[in-house]
This record gives sequence, C-alpha cells and structure tokens, in this order.
Amino acid sequence: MKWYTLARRCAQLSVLVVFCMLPWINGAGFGQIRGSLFSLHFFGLPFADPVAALQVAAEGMMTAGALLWGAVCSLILALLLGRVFCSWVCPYGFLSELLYSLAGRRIRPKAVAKRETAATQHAVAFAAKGCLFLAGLSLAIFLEYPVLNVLGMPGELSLIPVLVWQGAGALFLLWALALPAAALVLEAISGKRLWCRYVCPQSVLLGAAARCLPAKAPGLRIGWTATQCSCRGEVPCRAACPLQLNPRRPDGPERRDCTVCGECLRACESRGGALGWRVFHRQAERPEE
Amino acid sequence: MSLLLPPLRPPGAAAEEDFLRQCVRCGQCVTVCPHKSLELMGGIGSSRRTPRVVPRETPCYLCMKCPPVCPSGALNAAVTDMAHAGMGRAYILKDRCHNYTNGVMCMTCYDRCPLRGSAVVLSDGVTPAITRACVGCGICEYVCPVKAVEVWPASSRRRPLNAVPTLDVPGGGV
Repeated sequence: MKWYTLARRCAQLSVLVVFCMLPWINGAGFGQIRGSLFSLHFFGLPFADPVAALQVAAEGMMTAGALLWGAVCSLILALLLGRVFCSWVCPYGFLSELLYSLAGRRIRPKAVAKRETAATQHAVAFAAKGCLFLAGLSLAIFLEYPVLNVLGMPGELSLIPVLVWQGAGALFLLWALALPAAALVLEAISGKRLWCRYVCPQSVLLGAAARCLPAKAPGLRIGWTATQCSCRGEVPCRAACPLQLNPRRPDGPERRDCTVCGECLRACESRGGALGWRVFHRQAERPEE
Repeated sequence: MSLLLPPLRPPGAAAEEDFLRQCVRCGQCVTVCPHKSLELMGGIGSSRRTPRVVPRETPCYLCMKCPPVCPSGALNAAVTDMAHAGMGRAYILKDRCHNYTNGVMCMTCYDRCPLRGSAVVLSDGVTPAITRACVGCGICEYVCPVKAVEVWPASSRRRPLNAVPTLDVPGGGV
C-alpha cells in the first residue's frame, strides 16, 4: 500500500471512529472537538458544511460567525487542496468506497467509456447535481428551513452517534439510517459511486470551489506528464479511478470532480509514473535517466 | 400536554420561525449539555433534527452552556444569564395542583425553581404562583408530584385554560 493510500485510510477510519465516540467523549468533558459535519469545532478552528450555511443565508438570516467562517474555511480548503474532504474525511465517501472496492473484486474489469463520452457524462452529472442543489436551495427559501440537510450525507451520518447517545428508539435510528443504507445498496447493485457523482449537494459547492483555482496558482492537484506516459491504448489510471475520471489531461483530472484520492497514481506508479502530486503549476523537470 | 404545541427550545433560542431558519441541525447544543436535557427531534419536516427539551423527562437546569456553542446564532450566544433564557412559561393547573384541589400545602415547584422568588412566588405566603419572570426551564414540571405544572414554549401564543393566572414580577422587575 502506498503511503498516501495508507494515510488516507487512516484519516477516514479515524474520522469514523472519532465521530462514533464523540458524544461520549464530549460528555466526559473533552470539548476541543465537538459538533458534526454540519458544523464542527476542531481545536479552535471552525468547519462547516457550506451547503448548510448557504441555506441559512438564502433564507435571509445572518448566520453567527462560527458557521460563516466554518463554511469559508471548508471552501478555502477545497480551493487549495481540491475535494480532499470527499476522499479523506467524508464518512459516506469511506463506506461508499469500501463497497466499491469490494464490488470491484467481483465485477471489474469493465469497459472504460470513451474519453469524450466520459467527459460529457461528468459534465451532465455535475449539471444534474447542480440542478438538484438549486432546487433544494429554492425549496429551502420557500419552506424556510434547511431542506437540503436531509441530503447532507456526511452531516447526517455524523449525527447518528448523537441519536444513539441521546437514547433514541430503534425505529428512530432505523429511519435515520434508511437513506444512507438505501444509497449504499443502490451503489452496491450498480457498482458505481452514484451518490457522490449524481446527488451529493456538498460536492457541488466543494467542486465549484476546487474548480475556481486558476490553472497557474499553487494548489494540490494530480498532474500528468505526457512525455512520461507509456501506456498505449490501455488506460489503467482511468480504470482505477472510482469516479471514472480521466487523469490523462494536461492539467490532470478535472479538479471539479476529482477527490484527490490517489487511486490513479497507484495504478500509474508501476507504469512509468506519468501521474504525480503537483503543488505548483510547472514542477522543476526531474533529471532524465 | 397538547401534542400540537411547538417544541420547547433551548435557552436563548430565536423566535420559532427564525429558529427553524437559522438552526443548522448540527447537534452541538445537544452534546454540550451536561444534563442531557436536550434531544434532537425525529420525524420529517421543518423540526427534524432540531433540539428540544422535554421537561417531563429531563428539564433544562439553565446552566447556559448551549447558547455560546451554537455556530449559527439560532441560540443567541449573548444569553448567559438564566433570567433571560426565554424558553417559555410554566403554568400551574388549578384542577391538579394540591394547593388548589385538596388543600395539601405543597411547595415543591417553589423550592426547586432556579429563579425562586422571582419566577415562582408564594401568593398569600403559602400558595405557589408563576410570575412573568418565569423562563420555562421546566424543573417545576419535572418535580411536581401530581403533574400539575405544564411548560408552554415561548412560541405558543395560547395558554392552558385551567391555569392559575400569571402574576407580575415582585418588585416590578421585568
């Protein structure tokens, strides 16, 4: 396992474990981490679901500082590092990914879609998510409460331990788990990361923020060096991408959709290493061997 | 208590409609409460995952730890004085309270009120009565041996029909 995959799995797992224990830890008097993925207080730093903050703002309410700054922090993080939240933190992303890799052992290799159709598909998928997001936002304005929170999978999942802690009944818990479970089942059947690709409202704002980084500005991305790419005809990097993105573009995979999970890098490593982490636009040329 | 009543919100909550708009349903107030007085609501619709107090189960002890942790301003962080919690108001029900029904002298609500002397006073020196200083924490509802106290949330414009009239605050305070 590569170091970044190991680090990522550790991050995902510890997020899951910490949230599962958080109400009890808070109850014992530790308050440095508190909240949920709708709004989190993390050692003095505020983080918040930008979708939640935007809904409150859209309903015409001024939010207090913590929520506002939390949302700004999350968006800045997405701008600089890309959608790292999705692949390093989001508990739903973790479960979905586990399921995807388990299912992949059974039914892959699949045919990889043509590059052009794949690009169109991703544009359509993002447009679909965007429409859903706008519809939810309008509904929030109309109904005057943050309707989209129901679809805020990371936040919803991080609240489930709180429900357990407060002694909610079995029916309440089952009802709370119904949507995540249904989404996971659908993903297991289809073998695709449906929620992250077509539904998730959080990914719309994070993706839009990630997309906003100018091509030449420094920021974490996955870069592709055409001269080092030795694969002809086959595309192991695209087959490895859990979101079926195409990393073989001059600027790397589309920053709007890429969750910086590093799966394509792992596939590329043994094939010449044309893909690599990039922080600056043009990295100093490596000495030729 | 009527099932149609809006929920009793934590201390410092904005007016119900604004509260529903502002609350991001993050659960911070619920986990910060040392008495486990708050719970996230279930169901669907606007009150889903919003915090409430159910005084019959666990009342609010007015420790005022929740308003400062609210990230969205749905709970006003500036509310740190229990006298300004503004959650609702308690009503003593005439047809249940010992003092009004069978003449047994009971002062449990008076004794346990965190704002004793201003929110609950003894009218005529013996009979507990609620005043306008009551903030609706629900401790009296919790401790009443005959379930003769009901707390109605601030967002409710009505009041129980059989309630003892609410008195003015002794000393003319607000």
